[in-house]
Amino acid sequence: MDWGFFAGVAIAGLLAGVMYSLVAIGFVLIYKTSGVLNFAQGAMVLFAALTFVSLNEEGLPFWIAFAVTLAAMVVLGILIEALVLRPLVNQPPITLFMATLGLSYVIEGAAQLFWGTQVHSLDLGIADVPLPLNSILISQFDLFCAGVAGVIVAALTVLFRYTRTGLAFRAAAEDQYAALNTGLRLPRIWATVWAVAGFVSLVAGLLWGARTGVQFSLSLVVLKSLPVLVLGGFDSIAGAIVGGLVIGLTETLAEVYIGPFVGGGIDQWIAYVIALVFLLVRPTGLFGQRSVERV
Amino acid sequence: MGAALALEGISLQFGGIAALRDVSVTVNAGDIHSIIGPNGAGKSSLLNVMTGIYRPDAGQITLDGQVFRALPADRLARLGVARSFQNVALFKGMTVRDNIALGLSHRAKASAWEFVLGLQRARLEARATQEAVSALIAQLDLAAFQHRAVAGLPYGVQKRVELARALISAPKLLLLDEPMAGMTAAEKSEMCGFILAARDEWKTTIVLVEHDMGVVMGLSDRITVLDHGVRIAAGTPQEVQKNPAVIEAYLGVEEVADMPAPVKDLAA
Amino acid sequence: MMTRLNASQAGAIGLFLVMALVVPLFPSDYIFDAILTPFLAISLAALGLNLLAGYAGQVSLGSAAYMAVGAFTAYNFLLRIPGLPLLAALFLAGLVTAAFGVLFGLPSLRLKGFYLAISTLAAQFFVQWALTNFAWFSGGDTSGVITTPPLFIGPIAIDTSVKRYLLSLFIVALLTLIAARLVAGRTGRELIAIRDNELAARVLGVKILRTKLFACAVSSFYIGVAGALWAFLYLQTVEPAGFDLDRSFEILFVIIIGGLASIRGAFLGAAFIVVLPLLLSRAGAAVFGATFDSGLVDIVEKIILGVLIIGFLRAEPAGLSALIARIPFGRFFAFATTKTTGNFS
Repeated sequence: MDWGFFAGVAIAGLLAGVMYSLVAIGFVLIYKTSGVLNFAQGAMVLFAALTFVSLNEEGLPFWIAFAVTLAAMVVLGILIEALVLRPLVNQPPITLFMATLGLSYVIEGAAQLFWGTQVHSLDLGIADVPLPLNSILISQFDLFCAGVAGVIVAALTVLFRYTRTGLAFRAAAEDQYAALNTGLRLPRIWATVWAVAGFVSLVAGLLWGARTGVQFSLSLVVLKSLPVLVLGGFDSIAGAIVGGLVIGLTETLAEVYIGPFVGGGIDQWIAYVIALVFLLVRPTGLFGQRSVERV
Repeated sequence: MGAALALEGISLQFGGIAALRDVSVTVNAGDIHSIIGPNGAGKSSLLNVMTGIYRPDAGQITLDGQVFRALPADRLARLGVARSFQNVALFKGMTVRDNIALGLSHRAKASAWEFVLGLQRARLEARATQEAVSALIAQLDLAAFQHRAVAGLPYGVQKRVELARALISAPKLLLLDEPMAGMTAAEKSEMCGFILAARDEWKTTIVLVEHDMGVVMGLSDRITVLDHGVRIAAGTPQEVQKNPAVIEAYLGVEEVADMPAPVKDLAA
Repeated sequence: MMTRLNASQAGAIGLFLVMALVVPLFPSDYIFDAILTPFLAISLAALGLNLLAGYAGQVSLGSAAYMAVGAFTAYNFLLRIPGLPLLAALFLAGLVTAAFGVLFGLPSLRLKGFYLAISTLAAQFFVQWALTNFAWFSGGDTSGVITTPPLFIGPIAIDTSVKRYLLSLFIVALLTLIAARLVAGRTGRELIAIRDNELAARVLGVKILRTKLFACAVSSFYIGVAGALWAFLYLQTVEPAGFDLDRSFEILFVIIIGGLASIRGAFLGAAFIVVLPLLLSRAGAAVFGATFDSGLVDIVEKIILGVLIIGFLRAEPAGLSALIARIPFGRFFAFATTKTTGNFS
């Protein structure tokens, strides 16, 4: 048993997991504040990445392109809230989920219509030279991603727990009527949420795009975040991190160690099977809130 | 013939909250027995224990001579127990007739394939079901609504449909969770009429959780009073009305009796 | 049996007769190959999914995987058991898919809503992977491609577009009849009851477990047979990638657009989904001329579908099926209508 190799694989898996977590955090944000599982999250990440890359290629410098894209994401979020979510507010959650399914089609199609279907490459200026640590090679780029993710998570945790905005978010998610009664302005809250989620999507899109190129399959990759959410609970940021790490680690280990025996490709499905098994044991995830059903 | 129901020493906890503490209730066969108490007293919890939805942490339940640690919710119908729910648990995607027909599901013998092939047992069963449904529709005056989807119906009508669904199986024990909630005076007296008719026709034992004191005192043979999860009184309406503990906790507060019953109780 | 036909049953029989006796006289193969045969296969798959998602309220995002199971199972039966009648192979494929569906459906007994939906993705990705990686399933073809063997019903060769169409028609018509009778009776009621309020259903004595598994089994059977029809009678050459997530979504969209919890909804939605890309490419070519390429059609179709899904969920959750009932003579097109409304609760 080559422990050096194992450690290298494990670390690569964990770092891949961080990427999943980043996207999952976007899901959690929306869910925590509006109770909607936004299937279109993947499409939004793609949209963010495509918009940024295209603006960049048109000549806009990095930070301007970033700001413009962020603004576009906020507008997109507000439109989604007004046109899709609010009209369906009384429907059961699964209906909203279906609506976001349709939404993902619209956003993906629109993104491809505007920006085209070819693959764009994205260079964030981080040399992907492997860093040797003892005898293990670690991708510098992956480390950077982990760092960024860490900063985002810390910032969001602070936001949710210690600021009034965060408190408002949680109140709005818990009970909309009560929140309204205490004077919270829901539309403003939701706009802020979508702005934050848009920011996270944009960061995730940039990181993923730099890793694998900005292309249509980006939104498929994002589907992987769903098992992450299952493990971590839909409403927990910490859970999204832990879930992402677990999925990333298990997936990579399975692919490297078991994959060769079955022709590879285990990473296409193992995450979902893990989620499935997990759901049978603990339907609300590691960190999720169990709701008591009143009869 | 109505069933006798006895709960002994029932305790129920949710997390850290004790919903019921050592509650004992004796319901005589054929009685109309009401359970009353202020909000949060544990009335609905008690009803849910009686119908196997909550499993008590302690105590036992005796239904018609059979002793249970906890009533099995899926066998409830076969044991002759039927209930209505506080939030009107009708099946929104179906018509009135279909909702009521489901009250006979537990008696179904013919399999799905027999229905598909049109075999005789299935056809007879379907016809019998439809006849029973029609009988109840007549009895509860629902003819005008029978083919409509329940989702759009007035609240009072929905409650009647739910009652019909519970009655169609001619249950030995009928449990009604706030059947008068949200009804006008006329609807209430109608409902009382239906409940009494059911008792007279099938000698069904009826357990009622209810806030409307007029209805409670008028209908009940016996009453159990709960407060904060504990039984504070039990007896005939006259006895309960004069009980000082009851007056202090519940009846003495004049407004309670006059308050319009809320359409949806958030906690009971 | 039924002694009197109501309007919707009369309409259904009439339509079937037209499709069986009149339509085959069309001279063009295109109608059968590109429109009617895929329409029938998709309708059957949607019917199956509707039983599970519309009536029983269990949303599956993995229906394409079940189509694949049906297709590849039928292929393997025909390949490895020489002389096996085609209909027997289809029936067996359905049974295998039903067993598969029950197995992967066991988790659904405990899960609801979007937890359930996510769990169905496991079947979707696992099946696609297994069929691609293990050449055994495709009779040795390492890329997982299967090609229809020559098909016979007794001595009759199924080798023309019209014959493939007619075979699909008869199979779909028969299975639709069975499904209609299923949901018209007690089973349909019980499925909807479980969907709308499982607790109340349990207290009433509805056998929850058994009914849910039954819905899983029947639904999977239908989707499996649909997959076999799709592979053998429509595409004739198929690979695992043809049963991907987009296909699963397509079937789901069919029932959302067509109308949940309705038999005719599957057909209306399928007709829409099959015809839409054809209409779009015709319209696009007419408006934009030769520069309108098929990639653009795909993208526009995607956007339109997405908008429609949102629109239908917002405005008319009962889909086209409800809209049709309102047009003049709509009653005659209301085949086997149950007086139910669909929602995903």
